Amino acid sequence: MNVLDIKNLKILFRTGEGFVRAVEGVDIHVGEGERVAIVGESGCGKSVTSLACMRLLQSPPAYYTADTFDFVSRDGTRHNLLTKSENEMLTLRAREMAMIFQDPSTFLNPVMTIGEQLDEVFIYHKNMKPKEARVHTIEMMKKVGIPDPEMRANQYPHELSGGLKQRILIAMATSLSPRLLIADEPTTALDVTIQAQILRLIGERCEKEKMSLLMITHDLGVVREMADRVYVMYCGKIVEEGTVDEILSHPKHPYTKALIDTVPDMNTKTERFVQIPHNVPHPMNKPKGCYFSNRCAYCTELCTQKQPPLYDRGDGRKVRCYYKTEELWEK
Amino acid sequence: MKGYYLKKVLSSLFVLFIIISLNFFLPRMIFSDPAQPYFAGVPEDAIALREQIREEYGFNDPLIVQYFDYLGRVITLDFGESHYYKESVWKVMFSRIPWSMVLTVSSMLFSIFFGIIFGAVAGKKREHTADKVLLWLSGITTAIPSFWLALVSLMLFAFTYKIFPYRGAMTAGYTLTMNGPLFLVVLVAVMAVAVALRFITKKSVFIFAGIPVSLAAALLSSVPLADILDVAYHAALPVMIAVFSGTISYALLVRNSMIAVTSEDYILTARAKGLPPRVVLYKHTFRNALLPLITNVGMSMAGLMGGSVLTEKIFSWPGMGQLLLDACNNGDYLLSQAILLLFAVITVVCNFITDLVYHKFDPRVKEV
Repeated sequence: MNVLDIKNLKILFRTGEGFVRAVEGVDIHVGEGERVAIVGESGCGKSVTSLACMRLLQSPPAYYTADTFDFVSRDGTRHNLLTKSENEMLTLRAREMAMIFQDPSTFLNPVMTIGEQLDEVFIYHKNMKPKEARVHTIEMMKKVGIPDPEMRANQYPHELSGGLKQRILIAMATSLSPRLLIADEPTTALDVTIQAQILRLIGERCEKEKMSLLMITHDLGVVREMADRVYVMYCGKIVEEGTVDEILSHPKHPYTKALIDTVPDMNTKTERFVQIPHNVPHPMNKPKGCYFSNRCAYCTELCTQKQPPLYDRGDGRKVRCYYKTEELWEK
Repeated sequence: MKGYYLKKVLSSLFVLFIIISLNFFLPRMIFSDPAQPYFAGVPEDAIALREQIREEYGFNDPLIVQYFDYLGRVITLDFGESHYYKESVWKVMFSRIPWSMVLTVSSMLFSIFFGIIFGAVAGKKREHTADKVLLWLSGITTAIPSFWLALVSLMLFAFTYKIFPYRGAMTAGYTLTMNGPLFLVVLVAVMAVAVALRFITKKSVFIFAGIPVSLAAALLSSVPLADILDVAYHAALPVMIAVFSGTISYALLVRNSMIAVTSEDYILTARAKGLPPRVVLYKHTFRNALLPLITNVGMSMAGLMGGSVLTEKIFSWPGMGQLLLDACNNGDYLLSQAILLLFAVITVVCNFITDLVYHKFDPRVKEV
């Protein structure tokens, strides 16, 4: 049974120049205990999608519609995230679905101690007294590997390193063992040496608490490490979907291939890093046909005229490209 | 930590030294002849007598000698005698400071109180009624100078409708029958209780509540109620005008920082934790949004004893602002120097105190 079931999700933002279509009909599902990654460049709508799942986008300016936008909690109840009231969402957040954010230094309140911020989860969801909550907080801090938690609990965020702060955010998100953990680029702001530790910790926590993981990232190394299944997103649309091994070793969409090519190879010395030409088009000014057509090396007349549909190849892989055959890459 | 405070004290002292020097030289550039007021009653042609007065008060000494003479007197806190009031400068100033504080303290407390509430309501949701009203009012208070507002309201409420008195601080004169020792005893006693409570309960709210409560208790116990009511009646109009513009400027400050803090990342974290909106608002947003207000209040504390020159002039309020203006007009430069110096010292001290208490509100400041 799927934990998260999204069909045809559209997210619009009202701006001064009109509506911006940030997400245009996205289908995503996350199974029980599954680890799913959404990959794409900045501005392709992946963060917005993850915030929408938690219903954390302010509306206005954000508006969403979907054919299905369901979350199934641990007791098996289906929650329609489109129609939930804000009050009902309060009982889902942290208890059933939780989120880890990108930059731990800006996502912790600077004027509250670490302990106070962790206590809140227990105080407001479990109706605990502050003293009782602190016991659980210390317990939680131990679980995410924070040395000397009693001392750390009385410190303020600026007194902790980035890695420790991210551990605190992980503790905060997983302390009520939610069913779904959403991680929005959790390692982007960290040192490379810390990244591996944090990823391992997220993996461990998911396994232990039997959580499903929805990981947002642009780092294909992270995808390889963490995910079972991958969605590649571009300009608010899913362009390719499949298992990690399939996608990384046999990309079908030119965008996926381009992304993989940009990862520098450690074994060969290159003159220049490979890059995808041009930038992600402005959401108000997307190309007429395939959104990737202006940057695609295999673009044809048809691509600039008509949007390709998401072809289902039957083996769990879907590709939004007219040239979906293997031969393409042999040219 | 100790080094930090020492550095602060030293830099404050240095600032004070510069201020004292400016305070000496500036009046000597403004007033044509500092000795002039001393010649009152001395005939124009009694040149020998004038020379004698000059010599006696040291006006014939080189400027640098006069300067060090002044420094010496400042250090011993000897400001001399106001030749206009024929009284020691200290005495003249201290008879006026409480009157200024009646206006400034009450209008500041009301402004902060209403400003925080108004600002929080307006900043809660952007573009809503309260927010729009606040922006309109702030436009109005910026466009209308407060002295004009004071004049118009004086005309309307004191002359046309005669609801409020039009001048002075009391119906007769301005000497309160005040039991000074009792005032001090009650003030210290209540404050001591507040401090004790602070240490017993470990909640600093007692200190903050203790200041206004002890002041009020001391006043009520040492001054006859009829006098308090009389002063309150006279202060009502000037205070209301000050509170009107004060509230709006504080509210705007709180509203702006509320809106800025609302889009901070840690507010998203608080919401993702599933905290109820009111907890997100008051525990996370509001607490961070108050930081700029504290800086601002700390800086305007300096004006508490200084009073407002314009308001006091318009309402003929016997405060420090009015005193300074008169001293300048009368060429009473010993008095004006002392007043300006007092303002400067209070400003420096208040900034120092703000620095000291700021880390209570923003833990990041501790590291400096």
